[in-house]
Amino acid sequence: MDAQIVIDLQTGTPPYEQVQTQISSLIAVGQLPAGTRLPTIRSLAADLGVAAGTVARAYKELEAAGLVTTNRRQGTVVAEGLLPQGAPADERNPGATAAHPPPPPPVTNALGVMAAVEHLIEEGERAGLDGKMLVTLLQGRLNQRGK
Amino acid sequence: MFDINWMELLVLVGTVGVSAAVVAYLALRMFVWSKAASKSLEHIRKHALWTGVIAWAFSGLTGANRAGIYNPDQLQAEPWATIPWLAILGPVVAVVAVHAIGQSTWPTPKSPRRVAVLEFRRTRDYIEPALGWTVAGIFALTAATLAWLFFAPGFISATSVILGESGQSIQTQHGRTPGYVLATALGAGFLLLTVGTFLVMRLIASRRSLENLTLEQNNTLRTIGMNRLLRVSATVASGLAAIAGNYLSQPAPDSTTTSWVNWLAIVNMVVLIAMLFWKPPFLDSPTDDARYNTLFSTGRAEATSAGDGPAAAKLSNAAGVTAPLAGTLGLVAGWLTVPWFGWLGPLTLALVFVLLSHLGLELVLRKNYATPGTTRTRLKAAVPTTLILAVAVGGLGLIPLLIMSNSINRGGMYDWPGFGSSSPHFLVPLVCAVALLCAGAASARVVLLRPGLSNASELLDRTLRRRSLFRICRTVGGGLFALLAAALLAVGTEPTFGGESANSAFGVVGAFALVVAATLCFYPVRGFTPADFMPVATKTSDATPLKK
Repeated sequence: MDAQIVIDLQTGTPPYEQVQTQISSLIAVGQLPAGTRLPTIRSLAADLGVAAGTVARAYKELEAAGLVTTNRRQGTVVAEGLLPQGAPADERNPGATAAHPPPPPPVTNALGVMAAVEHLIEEGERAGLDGKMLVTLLQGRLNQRGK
Repeated sequence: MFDINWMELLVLVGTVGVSAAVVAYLALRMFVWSKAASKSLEHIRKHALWTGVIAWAFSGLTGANRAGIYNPDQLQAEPWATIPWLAILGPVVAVVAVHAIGQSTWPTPKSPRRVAVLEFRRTRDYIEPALGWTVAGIFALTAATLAWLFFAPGFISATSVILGESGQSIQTQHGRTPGYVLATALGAGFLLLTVGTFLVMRLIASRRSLENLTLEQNNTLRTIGMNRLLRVSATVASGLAAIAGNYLSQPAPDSTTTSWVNWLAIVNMVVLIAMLFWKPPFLDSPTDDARYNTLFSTGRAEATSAGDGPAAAKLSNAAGVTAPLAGTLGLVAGWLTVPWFGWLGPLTLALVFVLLSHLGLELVLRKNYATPGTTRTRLKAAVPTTLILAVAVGGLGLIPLLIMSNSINRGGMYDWPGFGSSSPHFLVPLVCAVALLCAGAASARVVLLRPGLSNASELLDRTLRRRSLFRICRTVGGGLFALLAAALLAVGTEPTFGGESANSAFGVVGAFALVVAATLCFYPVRGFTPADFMPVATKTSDATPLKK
């Protein structure tokens, strides 16, 4: 199945941030493996019906986070060498600075996580909960764990 | 027969073809593609088709067929004056521009929720390999021909008399520019075509996806665009080679050859025919119904059944065969009425027969697929407002014209054929109008009163009714406009006896009305959409029990 992103222009979150977070999530769960070529800025902007600058900014942020690399020949590609969790931070990304934090470590059981997310959505739909309510519930649980 | 310049005739036909294609495209854009249907699969298919058809209509290089060749009677040889730049570059620019416009005008996403697939789209992913290699071969052949052309020598047009093989004197008048002149012109066109085609290919790959299509459908649509672009580009490229071939095959002034063959033109004809029949893939529908897919030649397997839907649709499509047949029969029958009705006789009877064929088809549909007592589906906006307006204008406009035509000064010279000189002028068009309206009303009544289809979706039932009513309305509208045209032409060309001459403006408007009549009669009916064939099980109606 091809990786998709969905942005909602009615939410308060800026479109570039929605693009950025969704792509980084897809990289994290392994749906966009290292070496995957991302669409060009123009074509992704055209598909989403947003300005090219919006996608360019999202790609720039992803590049700064070390998740993607950009070169003339291949365009924007998911970065290689994202080391497993547990490796020292400086080894995972020697160029990380305070302004550009190191990229998140890859998820070891990506398929399991995605299955769990799908399960959550299905159960939520069965219970008559809409997407916003599900996100609120999830956010609440994450906040509790954070404490 | 030798007095006719067939090439000029071809150019004329090409111009008329282009104009017709543009008019048809504008008509489709303005009337057929309503806003509501603009996102339908049918609309998308039509947009892709018409982009290709219009580009094809503009691709004629006939005007440049004698590029680089001096006129036989040319006194001063000016090489660059033999280059028809517009005829060479015009079609190239038009083909590229039409495709670029066609690809850039797909609807933008409107919903606040936008979806995008994270795929890197490469141009070559949308090129059918066989077509791609064929087109590459044609481009390579053209490039090689132009390279050869560059070094071809020119010779001055001069009348020279030489002795033939059997001693007869032959007068030759052939001359051509140096090869580099024509090669520069054709090379410029070829370069423009190559770069333009390449850029449009990239545009096809990178342009926005349509939000209401699946990933697979979007990819198919890109492949269709690529197919149509490459086919017409290859034809133009081989056309440029054919122009070079015509130049290269010219015999030298001192040659005894009196006939020659332009082999590259034959290659061009082969390319033209091959590209004309190189079908693009079909923009697939979400239904898996085998009979639907057979109807639309999608070649997919059967999974679900849509009941009688596809068979009923096929019957409705049969109007494309029955109506012309009935029209021809009516024309023949109408020929017998010429002494009384003039040319309005065959015209009216042809249209009446067409209307009766629609009535007949509707009766067959009723007998085979509708059970008496099945609830009829309600129709909202059954016929497009513009069509109703056209019928109203035709009908109401006829009234004052009939009154006016009655006051035409007869003088014994000018009359509607038949009905004798004592019969009123309005009688023939009035009788024709009444016949048309009666046949139309009878057909429409059968359509409206037909019970619902027993074993097909309600949507299809509505679509079939709409299509039938549309056909009936366009035929009646076309007929009324034809009668209006006849009355206007009669008033505009009435003979005068010493008084004021007839107002020719009526004649001009009459000719325009005749064009409107023809347009209305051949106005395309809305096609089916996959949604029409959703299985019967998806019917939501709870108050309409289906009777078998």
